[in-house]
Formats: sequence, structure tokens, C-alpha cells
Amino acid sequence: MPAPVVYPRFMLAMFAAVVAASGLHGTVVRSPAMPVCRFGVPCNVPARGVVLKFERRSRVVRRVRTGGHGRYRVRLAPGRYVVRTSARIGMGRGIRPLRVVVRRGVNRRVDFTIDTGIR
Amino acid sequence: MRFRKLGLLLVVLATAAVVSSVAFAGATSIAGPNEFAPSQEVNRPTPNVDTGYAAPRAIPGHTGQIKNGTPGLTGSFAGVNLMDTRSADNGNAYSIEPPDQGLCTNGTYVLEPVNDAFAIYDTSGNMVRGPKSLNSFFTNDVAITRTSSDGSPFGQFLSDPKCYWDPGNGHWYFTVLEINTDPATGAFAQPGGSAVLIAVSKGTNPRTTRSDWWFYAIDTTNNGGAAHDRSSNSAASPPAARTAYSDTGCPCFGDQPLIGADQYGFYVSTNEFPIFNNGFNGAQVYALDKDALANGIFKMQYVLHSNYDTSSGEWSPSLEGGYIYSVQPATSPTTGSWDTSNNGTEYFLSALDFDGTTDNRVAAWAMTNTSSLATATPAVHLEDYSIVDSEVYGQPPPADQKAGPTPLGDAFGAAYNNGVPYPEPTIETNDDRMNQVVYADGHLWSGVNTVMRTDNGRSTQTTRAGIAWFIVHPTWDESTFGAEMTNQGYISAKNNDNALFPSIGVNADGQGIVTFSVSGHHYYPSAAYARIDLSGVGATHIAGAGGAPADGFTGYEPYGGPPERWGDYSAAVALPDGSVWAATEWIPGTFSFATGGWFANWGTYVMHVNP
Repeated sequence: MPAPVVYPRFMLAMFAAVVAASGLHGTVVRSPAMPVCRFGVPCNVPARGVVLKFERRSRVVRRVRTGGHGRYRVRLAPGRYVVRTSARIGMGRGIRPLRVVVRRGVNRRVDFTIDTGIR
Repeated sequence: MRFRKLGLLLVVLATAAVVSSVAFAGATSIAGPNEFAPSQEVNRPTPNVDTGYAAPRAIPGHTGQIKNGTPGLTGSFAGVNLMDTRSADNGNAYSIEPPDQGLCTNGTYVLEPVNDAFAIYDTSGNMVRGPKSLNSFFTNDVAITRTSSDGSPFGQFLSDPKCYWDPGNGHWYFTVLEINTDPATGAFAQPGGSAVLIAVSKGTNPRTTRSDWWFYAIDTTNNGGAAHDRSSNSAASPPAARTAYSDTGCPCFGDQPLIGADQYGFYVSTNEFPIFNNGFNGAQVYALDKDALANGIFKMQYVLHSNYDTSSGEWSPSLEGGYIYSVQPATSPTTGSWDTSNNGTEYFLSALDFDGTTDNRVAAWAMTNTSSLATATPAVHLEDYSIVDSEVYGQPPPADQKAGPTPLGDAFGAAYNNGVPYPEPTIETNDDRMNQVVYADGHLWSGVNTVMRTDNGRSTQTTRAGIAWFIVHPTWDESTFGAEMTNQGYISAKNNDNALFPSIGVNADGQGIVTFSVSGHHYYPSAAYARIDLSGVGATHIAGAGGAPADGFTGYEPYGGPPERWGDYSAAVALPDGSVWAATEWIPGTFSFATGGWFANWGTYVMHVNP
């Protein structure tokens, strides 16, 4: 029977970091969806079928398409990313937040808002 | 053995991951600060989002700093507010944000429309007619039926009112956008339809009764803008639903209808957005026979059709490679101010910040042969635009407010935030699109919201919202149109305060005021103005000091905020007597969620100034 393999503690930590899927999830909305907002009526709507591009150093490293309710989930290596949409959604400033941080071993919620330019 | 190989693989992967993240941590350009670089102030290429923006700096003594007193102010009063719009039609209405600001006057009456009501005042500020809802006036319905269990029947969705009094024929022109609504549910109706509604007074005195107005509609559902006569009963005859659309993403609607006029024409410009889909198609411009409208006759020429090709990612037509948006037609204070050359000329201005960053160009446009609108075969011609180098303007940040009570934020916090009050909201400054344009004294006058670096008392690193203003001189070399910048500058409230949403009213002699809202560490949202002429802008004066922070539902997280929506435009208009009437949003502080359960506390402030 071979001797059991004993890994150093730092190796196990790195193992955990790799196995735990870091990334982001959340919802994307278009806002405002109408020129004037009425109390009791949602002024934003889910951004369905929007392709989010996650860029590092001006290079797209991951794309993900939002689902029917504007939801998305994406695995990303730890780091800082610039987020864009693959196609123009509205006019003006586009998606916010523009920059996101992914932490090692954490899949955190980040909700995005796309400014439609409707006013 | 298999475990040993797995361990080795993991070591390699983990090491790669660590190296990758360390290497990336050094890529400071992505998250780096938006450093100010003086060289970026002029003649630089269109920026891109990666580099951030370079904010123009407020220059002490030259940026409209706030001073005491109200020079030239001959009268002012609180105008239409949230209570008026919510209480209209016996309460069969919504709480609404933002108000948006229309204003027009003939010197005897002042007509003031907002979302979604209007009132008519005398020049002393006495409300002589109204408030009346836009729904009951334009579409002869109510927005929501509060007495029914489900709110039905719902009325048409109306928004973004503007109005204009014509110094030539004395008639009143009143516009609003309409999106077809399902009367059973209140949702936008399928398959979708929209219009710009136009009401024109039959006489020269403004009234709130429908029988005193002609009603028309420009169908904005798709390319083309077919006209409808709505004089009989518009609620019964909304635009016919179409089944095929040539413009991308349509059915669409024409957002924020902008209006202007010259001697011959009445002009409407919209931004075309899909009602149900993602997208933006650019500006659409319509020219109408002005005097015919006042006589019950609708004649229109569809002048500019913009669209976006999703397959090529290109705009048709494009403006310097970007899209055409918010093309503001000009109005003039007197009949003598109109440009009658080239068989009648109407001017427009638009901005060129396509990505919400910064830019240093303004586009001037000229539409010629406008006298043809009065003929059986209208044939106006939109000349090539002229690009004018300008000072830098850019995407403004939300505006903060002076700290104060926010009872609605407290109540929402109790309901939605585990009992923790929501923080005081910031105010939405939207973007740096072109605002109202006036053609007077041979020049085009306008301004945009912009990011500013202001003095916070310790450094010059505070980013606030300010105003970039422009005075553009249209030029003609025989039949070739051009334009040049006569003067330009900034209005910055400075010292941790913000100035937002300018409108310029200028008389025939080139004397006028800029009106706007002021908000920041030292001010609740207030109504302000500054004098302007060809030599520049004077100090800022507070005409209506705000009485509380903005505390409306759109400012809080459960309703999409912050920031809280703020009136998307203000209004200012000069009369033939040389005086200027202006109005802008403020917070009067006389009502709130605490005093009456109101879900917003906005108001408007009307001022009369001899510049």
C-alpha cells in the first residue's frame, strides 16, 4: 500500500482557490424604460438577451448572455474587469458599474444598469 | 500515482492563477483615476471610455459663482408641483417623477406644463385656469381610475410636455409624447404605437377646454411619421397599429419631443427608441406648416430619418461617425429675429458625446426653404451640419444636496431596508445632450450639463455638475452653411455645489438669462438664474431657495435610485418687450411624505427677469 500523499498547507489553499469558482452573478436592467416614472409601476425592465463582455487590458476574456429575466452568471478569474455590452443598447453612458472586481473564491452579486438614454 | 499527478496539475493551475492575478493587479490603467490633463481641454480626438473623462475646471471669477441679490427679477412664484399633478382628475392620476418643464407666455398669460398637468397663470402668478391633467386635455381620458379595483380603464401614457407661443400669429403650440396603453392593464399596448401629440390654440388666449384647441398627432411608431388629425377625439383614434417595421427594434416612440419655430414652420425633433426592445435609432425631425396648424390644417414634411443597422453597427445617417441625437430646433423672441434668408431658415444645435465621456464639438444645423411649408409641395432642405470646435463638456455626475429631512426615505427604509433609513438621495443630472436653443440677435444660444472640477475649499479635485454654455454664429458663404463659436464658458456653482439643466432665454437685443437648478452642500435644490449676453455670463442668483432635500420615490433603491430623477429640462423664453420668463424645478419644502403622504416633493419655480 503506497504511503499517503501529504500536501503542504499552501498547496491546499491554492487548491481551494482554484476549485471555488470565482465570478459574478446578478441581474441586468434597462433604465429608465419610459420617459417618466410612475409610483407603483417599474421604471426599469430586465435587459433580456444582452451580451456582457468582460475585458481585461482591453481584451475580452469572457462573454455571457443574459436570460429571460435579465439574469446572468459568469465564472471569472480574480481580478478587475471593464464591462461592456456587445451591442449598443441605448444612447449615452451605457452600462454601470463600468468596472468590477472579482475576488478569489468568491462568486458575488453585481447588478448592472444600462442607461437607455430615455428621458 | 494518480493523486500525485493531480496534485502537480493543481500546483501548476494555482500558480498560474496567482501569477495572473498579481500581474493584473499591476494593470492600474483600468481602475486608475480620471486625471485632469490640460492638454485634453481643446482639439483632442473623441475620447473613449477606457481613458475616463477629463473634467473642465471651474475658473474662479469666470464661472457664474453664486452671489446675493436678485438683480432684474421683477416677479416670481411657485408653479405647478407634484400635488397638482397627483390631484388632477379628482385623483385619477399617478405620483410622477421627473416633472420636466415647459413654459410659454404672451406677456399676459403664462402657460406652464409639467408631467402630467398644466396650469395657466396671469403675470402676477395667480392661477387663472387649471391645473388640468395632460390626459384629460390631450387624450380625453384619465391616467388611472382610482375608483376601480384594478385601476382600469387606464389612459394613454403621456410625458415630456413643451409649449411655445408664437410672436407672429399669436397662437399657442403645446406638445407631448404619447405611448399607446392597454386600457385594461395599463401596460404599453401590443403590438405598440406612439405619437407626438400637438395641440394648437384656435384663438390667441390659452384655455384648458379641448374645444378651444386643434389636436394633431405625428405617428412615431416607425419611420415615416404619418400624420393624424386628432381634432375629433384622440382617445378614440390612436395611431393605427402596424405589423411591420422598417426601423430597428420598432415599434418605437419619439422620446423627448423638442420644438422650435421660424417664420414659416413649427419643428419637432425626437429621439427614436424601441418601446419593448433594446436599442436607439437616433433623431427624427419633422417640419410642419405653422400657420396652417393654427387653422386646423395639418401639413408636414419628414425631414430627418435616422436608423441603426445592427448588422453593420453603423448609423444612417451618422454624425461624425456617431449617432444624431437631441437635435434642438431654435425658437426666437420676435418676428424680426427670424432668419428669412434662403427662403426661410431654421437652425438647430446638437452635441456629440456618443459614449457618455467628454467631447469638444458642437454641431450646428440649418434647414432652408422653410417658406415652402406653406405651399402644396413642402420642400425644406436640411443642409449639411457644421461642426464647431468648443470647450470640453462631458457626462456630469449626479448632484448631491444639502443635508436635511427625508421622511420618505425613512419610511421606505422601515418598509424595505430592515428599518434602516435610506440615505439622502443624489439628484440625476442625466447627460450632456443639447438643451433648449434660441436664435436671437443673429446667434444660437444654448447649453449642456457637464462634469466640472470645482473648488471645495481645500483643493480643485471635486467633481460636480455644472453647465457649459455656447453662443454660435451661423454663417453663409453664398449657399454654403457654416458656423463659428462667438463665445462660450461654464457656470459652476463651485464650493461643493452643482448647477444643472440650463435653458437660455434671450431677447432680440442679445440680452438674456440662463435658468437652472442649484443643489449641493450649501443648497437644497433651488431655482437660479444668471444674466447672459455676447460678452458672457454674470453671477448666479438664487430666485427660489429650496426648502428641503428632494425626497421622491425614484431616489431610493426599491424604485431604482439613487440618483433621484430630476426634471429633464428647464425652460426660458424672451418676449418682444425684452423681458424673459423662465422656470425650473426646485423643492419648495411646503409638502412632503410627512405632511400628506406624498411620494415626491418636487415643485417648479417661475421667474420674470428684465435682463
